[in-house]
Amino acid sequence: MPAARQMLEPVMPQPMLNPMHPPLAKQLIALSIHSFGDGPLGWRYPGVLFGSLAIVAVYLCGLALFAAQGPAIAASLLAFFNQMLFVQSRIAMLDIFALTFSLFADRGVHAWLSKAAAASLVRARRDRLRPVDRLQMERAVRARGLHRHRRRDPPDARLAHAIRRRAAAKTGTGPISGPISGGGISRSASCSFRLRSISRRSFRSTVFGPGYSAGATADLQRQHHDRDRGPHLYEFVAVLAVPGAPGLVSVRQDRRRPDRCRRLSSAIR
Amino acid sequence: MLAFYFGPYLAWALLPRTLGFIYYYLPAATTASFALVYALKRGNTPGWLLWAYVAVGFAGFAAMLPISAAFIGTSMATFSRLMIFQNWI
Repeated sequence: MPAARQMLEPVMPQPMLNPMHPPLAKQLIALSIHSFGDGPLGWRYPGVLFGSLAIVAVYLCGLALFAAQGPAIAASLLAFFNQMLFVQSRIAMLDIFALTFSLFADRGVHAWLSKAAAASLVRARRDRLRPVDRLQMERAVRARGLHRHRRRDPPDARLAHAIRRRAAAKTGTGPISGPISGGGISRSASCSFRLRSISRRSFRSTVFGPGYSAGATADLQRQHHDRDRGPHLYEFVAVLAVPGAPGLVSVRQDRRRPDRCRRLSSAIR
Repeated sequence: MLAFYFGPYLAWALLPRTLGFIYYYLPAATTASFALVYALKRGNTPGWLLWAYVAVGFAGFAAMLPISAAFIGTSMATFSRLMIFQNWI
């Protein structure tokens, strides 16, 4: 606190207090004191804010690590019930800031590693695919990181109606199961995916792939093709980035049975 | 998880400091939440076990809340009495 107060002086007094700690967190506390006054609210507000953000960061890290909402929520609850985090969020110390920045950094590092690993595996496999599969894979790779696929303008009113109807469906979730073999190994794939319509014409989806529970890096991203084919609502291509078995899986979800997904083809060798 | 746990932990692990500096352990302790979830979900562990553990965590949090939120006063004598391992003090 004295170090934060010192930062609000027009000219930094000497000697500078608490010089062994980096200044950012103290500057945030000083900003809070400047905004809310030199009282408990001003002292404690940044810690409470960053403590709350830490819980959000734990959820995001959990989502990345476990690829499912349940474990991510459990991890954030366990962090929430941690007395040390609770107490540190109430007092004007610097540790809660370090924690929150570290957790968001962890999430960023995980995202970077997953993306780099997936890109590397895709590159390694691409040249061994059939041309048609390679095209599909390149399309899916382009969708990676973009998280959004915009459809072209619908050619006719019937298709426009179909898109509106699909957008009304809002959300689809479900498991995908089936044997996947490649790279000399064989494993049972058990993916789950989330599909959410952003607007009438764009969709966002994430596919979580096999291997998370076994500790393998799995990161699936899919590009869907919303063609009307009878009862089938969504059809998409996923890039599998499982070490040892990267490849493509084309999956179709049945609109009437969203828990059932049928694997159409696989480009895994 | 191990990297994120040991990264912030090993920086302080060998410092001969008392329990009063346990807040150095905060980043590592928070990362340990992931390890707990992973351990409680791996293999054929029943699904309810994780949530039972979360419930126990909540019970501990609620029980200690009056002290951690300073709703009630306490003393160093109580602090010492409640300490699980006396050599931590």
